[in-house]
Formats: sequence, C-alpha cells, structure tokens
Amino acid sequence: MDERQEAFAALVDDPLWRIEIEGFDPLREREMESWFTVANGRSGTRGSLEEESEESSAATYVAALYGWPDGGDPPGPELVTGPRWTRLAPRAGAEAIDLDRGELLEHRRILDLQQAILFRIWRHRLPSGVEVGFRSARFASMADREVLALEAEARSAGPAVRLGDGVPPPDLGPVESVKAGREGGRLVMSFQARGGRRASFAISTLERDGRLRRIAAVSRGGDPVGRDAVDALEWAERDGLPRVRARHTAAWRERWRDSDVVVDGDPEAQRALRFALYHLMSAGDPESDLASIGARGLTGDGYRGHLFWDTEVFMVPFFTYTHPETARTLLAHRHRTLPAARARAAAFGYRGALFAWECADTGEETTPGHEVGPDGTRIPILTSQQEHHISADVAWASWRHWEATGDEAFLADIGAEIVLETARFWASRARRGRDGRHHIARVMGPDEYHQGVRDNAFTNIMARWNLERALEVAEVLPVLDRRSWRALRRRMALEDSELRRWRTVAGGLVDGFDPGTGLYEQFAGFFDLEDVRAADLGPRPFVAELVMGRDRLGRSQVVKQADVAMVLHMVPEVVPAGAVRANYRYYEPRTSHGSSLSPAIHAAVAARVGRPADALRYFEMAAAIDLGNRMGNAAHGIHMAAMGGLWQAAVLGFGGLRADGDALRIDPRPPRTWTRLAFPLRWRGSRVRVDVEARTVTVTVDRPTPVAIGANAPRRLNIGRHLARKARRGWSSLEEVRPS
Amino acid sequence: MRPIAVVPGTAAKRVRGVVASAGWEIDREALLEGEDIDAALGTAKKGRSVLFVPARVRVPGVIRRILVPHEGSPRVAGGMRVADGVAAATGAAITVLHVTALYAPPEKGSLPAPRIVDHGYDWAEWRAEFLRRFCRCSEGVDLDLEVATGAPLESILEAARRLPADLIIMTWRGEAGPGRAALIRSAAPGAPCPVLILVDGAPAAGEGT
Repeated sequence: MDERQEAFAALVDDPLWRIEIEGFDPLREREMESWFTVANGRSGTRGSLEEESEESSAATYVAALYGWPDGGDPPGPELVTGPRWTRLAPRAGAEAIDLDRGELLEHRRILDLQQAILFRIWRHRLPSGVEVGFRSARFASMADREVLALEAEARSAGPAVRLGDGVPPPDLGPVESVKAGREGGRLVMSFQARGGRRASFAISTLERDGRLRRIAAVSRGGDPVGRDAVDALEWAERDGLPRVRARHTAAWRERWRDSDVVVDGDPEAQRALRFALYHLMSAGDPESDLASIGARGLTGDGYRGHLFWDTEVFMVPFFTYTHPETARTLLAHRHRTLPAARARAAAFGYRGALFAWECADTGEETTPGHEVGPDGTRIPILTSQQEHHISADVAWASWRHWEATGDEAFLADIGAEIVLETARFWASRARRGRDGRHHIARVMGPDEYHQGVRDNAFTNIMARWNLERALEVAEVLPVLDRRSWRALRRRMALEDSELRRWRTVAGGLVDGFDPGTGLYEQFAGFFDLEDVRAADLGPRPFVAELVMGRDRLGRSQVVKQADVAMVLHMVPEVVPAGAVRANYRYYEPRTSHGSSLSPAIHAAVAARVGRPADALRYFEMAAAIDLGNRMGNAAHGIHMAAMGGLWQAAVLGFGGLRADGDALRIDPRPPRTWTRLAFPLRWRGSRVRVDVEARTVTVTVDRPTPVAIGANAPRRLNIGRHLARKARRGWSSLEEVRPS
Repeated sequence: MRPIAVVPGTAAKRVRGVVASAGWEIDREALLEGEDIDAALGTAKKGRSVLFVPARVRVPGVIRRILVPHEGSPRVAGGMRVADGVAAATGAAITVLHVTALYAPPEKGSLPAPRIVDHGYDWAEWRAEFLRRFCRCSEGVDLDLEVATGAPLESILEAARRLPADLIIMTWRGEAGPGRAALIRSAAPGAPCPVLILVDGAPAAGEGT
C-alpha cells in the first residue's frame, strides 16, 4: 500500500461532537491535556503537543500498571507512565518547529468525540520567516485495545520538513528498570515498575515526504521482552493504519449507538454529556478485569490512579445500562479484591468483606494517613477508618447490575459473593443496643464534614438494603444455579442460622426516619447541631471548612455533599412516599457541594421532586467540574465520577429511569429548555430506546419488555415503537405505534 | 531599566537601600510628595511602577523576603516577574500568599483555591498546578506558597508582619472608581514595609525600556 495515497483522518463536522480549543494558552495547557486524553481502558495518553513544551505534562498510562516510587509521599503505589509515544521533533531544515519560537498563525486542537480522535491543526511562521503547516490525529483503538496510533504531516514553503523519530523512555520513579532496543526497525521498550509489574511498548514509525505514521502496541504482564507488544504491532502494521483506524471508528460508532444521550435545545448540555460519555467509555475495558477505573481514569496522575466508591456508585450504572460487558469487568475487578476486603474486615475485628476506601489493583487500603490542608497543617484522614459504606456501595452496584441485566452467570460468579460477603460484614459491624435496635457507630457517611458519627442514615439504610439483598440472593441463586449456590455456601461456611441473624439485624437497624416530619436524621444528633444553611453563606459550591473553620463546621448542619440525598437517589424504593421531597427540601440548602460527587446527584433528585430549575442548575454545576475547572486540578485528570454523575443526572434524573421489579420505569422530567431528550439503554437483554419530547414519550424495544411510564402500572411491550402522551395528570398508557 | 516612582517624596533617601538592592532606579520626575495612596495609584495608573512607603515603617537596607499577594489569576504575572528578578538579584526569598475567596477572578487561566475538594489530594494537586502555572522562578530562587483563609487585608498584613516581609508587591487592576482598589488602598498604607504597586498590563519594573 502506498502510504502517500492513504487519506488522513477526517474530522467530524457537527460542533456538538467536538471539543475545540483555539490558540495556545500556556496557563491552561495541562487542563487541556486532561480533556484531550485518548484512551481505551487499556492505556490512556494525555493530549500533549507532539513536540511537547515547557508546559506539558505528557504521559501515557497503562491500566493496572502500578509501581511504588522510592520515598513517595504519601507512600504507596501509583500509576506508572509509559514511554511518550506521541513525541515528535518537527524541523524545517535545521530549524525546530515549536510554539515558543516564531509566530503562531493558527492553532486548533479538536477532540472529535464521535470518532474518539484528537486532531491538531497548526500553522506557524518560523523565526526565519518560513511558514509551516502541521496537522496530526491520534487515537487509542477501541477495537484493538493494545494499539495506539498517530498520524502527522507537515509542509513548509521553505526547506523540507522532518517530523522526527525518537520516543523518550518512561520516567523513572515508580519504574525500576527500562530495556529499550530495536527489533526489525521497531522500537521495543519493556519496563518493570517498582513492585514487579511489567509492560512493554512496541513502536514503529514510518516517515516519508513530511508525512508520518506511527503505531504503538502495549502489552502488560509477565512477558519481559515485549513479545506480545511486538506481535500486536506486527498485526496492526500488516493491516495498515487506515484499517486500524476504520475498525476503531466503527467500534466507537457502536458504542455511541448504545450510549449517546441526545439533548435538543441546550448545546452546552449536549457537549458536556458527550464529553462525559467519551471519557467514561474511554476508561473502561470490557475485555479485562485486571484494572478498574480510577477516580481520574487514565487521564492524569491525580489520586495516583486509585479507586474509590466513585467507580461503583457513579460510573458502573452508566455501563450497566449501556455496555454491561464493561460493568461486568469492573465488578469482576472488585470481586478479585475480595481476599483483601476479607482481611481488612478481619483487621477491624469484623467478618465478611470490607472493601478498601482507596486502593490500587490489589484491593489493599492505600488511603494516606494524613493530608496537608491548604494552610499547611497536617490533618488526619479518617475515611479509610470510617467510610465503611463502601462495602454496601459495591454490593449496591452488583445487585443493580444483576437487576438490570438478569445476567445469571454474573450473579453466580461475582455478584452473589460480593453481596453475601458484604452482608456478613454488616451483620458483624452492627451492634444491638439497649433499645433492642441495631446501631452502627463510629462511621462517616458521604458527608465527610462529620466524622465518627453514630447511625449515619445512609450507612445504615445501605447496610440494611445490603442484608436484605443477601437474603434475596439466598432465595434466588439456589433456583437459578443450585450448584453455584452450594459451592458458594460451602466456601463461605454460610449456615441457615447466619441468614436468620442477617434478617434480625436488617429488621433492627435504625435509619433515623421520623414519620411525623418525613425526614431522615443524617446521623444521631444531627438535628441538635447549629442550624446553618450553606446557601446563606455564599454562592455554592464552596469548601465549607474554609468559610466556617473546621471546628464550627463539625458542630453545624452544613453538609459537604449528598448524604441523605444519596439514599433518595440510590435506593428510592425504600423511601416512604413524600419523604423524597421533604428530605430534599431540608438538606439541599444545607449542602455546600464541596465535593464533585454532589451536584449531579442533586440534579437527579431535584428532577425527581419536580424542581426543574434546581435540577438544571446542578446539572450545569456538575458539567463545570472539569470543563470549568471548578476543582482547580483538572490538570491532574478528569473527575470520572462527575462524568458518571452527569449521565445519571440526565438519564436517571431527567429521564426518570429506574428499575421497578421486573419492569423498567420511565418518569421523564427534563428541563423546560431541553426540547428533546433521547437515550438508549439495555434492559435484561433488550435494547431500549427512550425518546422524550414536550408532550410525548416514545419507547422502542427490540424484544418484549415490561415498561411503565410515570406512575402507570407496567405493561409488557411488544417489539417495536410505543408512544405515551402527556395527560392532564401523568401520562397515557404506552400504545404501540404501527408503521404507516 | 525602567525607573520607579516613589511615594512619599521624603522617602527617597530612606528607600535608597531597598531600591539599590533591587537593582531599580528612582524616577526623579515621578517623585511624589506626601503620603497619599491616591496619588500613588494615580501614578501607577499612568503605567509607572510605584514604590509606596508608608509612614513610620521599617525600611530595610536590603530585601530578604518579598511577599506577593496572589489572587490566582494571570494578571499577577507581572508582579511575579518583578519578585523573581529582585529575588534572583538579591537572594531574597519569595512568599506567595493566596487568600481563599468565594468569588473567582474573571480572567481566563485563573486558578484560585478550589471550590470543591473531594480529598486531601486535591489541595496538593491544586498547589502543584498553582506553583507551576503562576510561580515559576529563576533557578535558585527560594519560593513558598501560603494559603490563608479570612479577610484578604488582614491576611496580607498578618503575613507581612509575621514573615517579616521587606517588600510587598501588589498588582492592581487599575480601576480606582468608587468601591474599587479597596484592598490596595487599605493594604499599602497599613503595610509594615514598602509596597511596590504595579498595574496589570503595565510594563513591570525591572523590564527593559
């Protein structure tokens, strides 16, 4: 194949599929690098300039490749960066082409969300007066996850342009050793992280007449000479970059077909949603459970690449409903960490599984012992000691996945054990009080402003829910898969007496609900605290400890983030009628939203309780977390939970989607400015498409599926399109739309 | 070397040491009379760098510590460059002081203290980015970043006294109308040391003419 004849990648026209930045702002460059990351769950490459600059934090991360840097502060594993495979050294004759010298005539970087290709278009007048043009396109293949590709070309009115070879090796630090060599014209770099994990890159570069094609292949694991990477590279080379690219774009087309949320009437919301979905899909790997998705995905070094509850509570639901294969590997990854979770529970003196609050790939706890506050003071971090709700969160995601997919193999192999082991933890964690009820003391809910509290409503309700689902597993699994159930029971030494105890504990757990007011007390004694409304202190979001001081904050009712609101969002089925509204009204003004996890959840809950203005405001706040750099650290990576939260706000909140027994319930409440909201989803093997307009909802299913609209009773829909119209109260029933 | 204006006029002798140590020269034509912050701001607005010396303050012979209040916006870049130049010439250390606020500066590329903090890592990440974005200095210059909460005026004056600072460099938007320049109007006369006032966008002292 003549490389010169191959067409360069073509950019999507539609601005709603583009994130575009013009010029070059050195101050924001590292934010842009995070935004413009291309990733595929196996590796992630930040959107740095090919020639790099003083402002660059160029990096390629390999999922699950953690190393222990010497003298790390805090000590612990961190994601290792691989070789900077996108590096070029463009020159026109002897003159270097870079942004620091000469005159910038045009510079645009465009993330084509539809095709998941990062484009760069650049014209520059060099100090010598020669004008050069440059363009590049890069991607991390969604179809062939080992493969990364870069194409670039440059032309000059003067001397011939050379783009340059030479890929810098990985930075040392968490990397112990690097072996680099050439094999058949290919660069092969194998490196070992401190701690033993290995990865290899094989890279080939073909440059002719100012046009460059580079393909890189990544392998990880025990292969010390990079054979797997070389094999993958050879295979991609044989196919040629255009075909590799075509497979990649076809894979993305499929993913968008299964996940794109269409918003008409609000282009900013549309772009923010696609930006979020792009990063979510880029971060997951449905083919491997070696890694999960860290809090910043593979977009930056933030949080050292570690996992938190962010994954299960904020990201997994998106995958469960759009790409269950990815959700399954994420949950399978957590399942792999069960031995560490059991050991952790035992270390606390409990039974069952207590998942790490923060961990790398082994599941061992990696939360630092302290943080350095803004004023330089050392503050102990108690999250790993007290945020035990993580165990129920993982169980919740597992059960919701089972509920939405009906994947019996998942339940038998992964879900059941997670739900049972975490239930066992809660049964040992709760204590029966003198009042005859069960209590959970010394915990922290999602609201981290209040530590060491007793009977956090969220923790207790989630623990009870976890215990009840475990009892359900004990009923369902023997029917679905008797052999698996028996094996699991044997492995866990699970006796009937223990199941009876779980029932007792679940029934006895207090949840702080007052039927008189319809309010949950966030924790025992919360209502006795100074009643301060965050909304009265200043424009939200804000970091309340900076406004009030830590001591007063802890004695007040100011809440960091959704806490009781998480109950309303995650397990609405246990909340008595009318209580959702009452609790939202009480807690919303008291919440500072000093966490990136808060606004999207509030958007979803506000939509459900019929506060569309609030809902849209919170949606926009969530969208601004990285696109507006609200946290001041987008340079260190995209906040993946905020991305997942945005999908939940749109689909679970504005779309009003939720599981209702065997049926899918849709109770749409989009903002008035959104003239249309449409989204696909998967429900128990059926591909469902929901299309909401001002006065109609259309639901299309590709197999018979029980669906309910609004407060109506579920109906089993036949294959095809079904339409419901807005009625005076609620919605008409879904009627089949026959093709005319 | 662009000369600097000095306020008040009687301070010319007193500040000779600090001016010489910074490598500046005094703009004789711009010597101002009286301890008048408004006059100082008026001069600064014309594009001159103004060294304001409050009455009865300690005027150091040499500069050992420079305090740069920094709101986290790119417009403080001129002030940082001057601080860096002085520090590189004199061996002085720089303390950058960021006072957290509920309102963000409007300039693109601003990076005030975050309004959302999930985790302790966030502060360290913000700090690293803030230093890299706004505080790059010449090799060997000793720089630290302090973050204060509370009222900006009190925080600046407290830090200046505590360090102690021999020079404060303040960047001003150049807007002097009602309700404007409140911080600089209060901070400069109350400062325990000379205050160099720069107008955002004006060529900074120490830069070539």
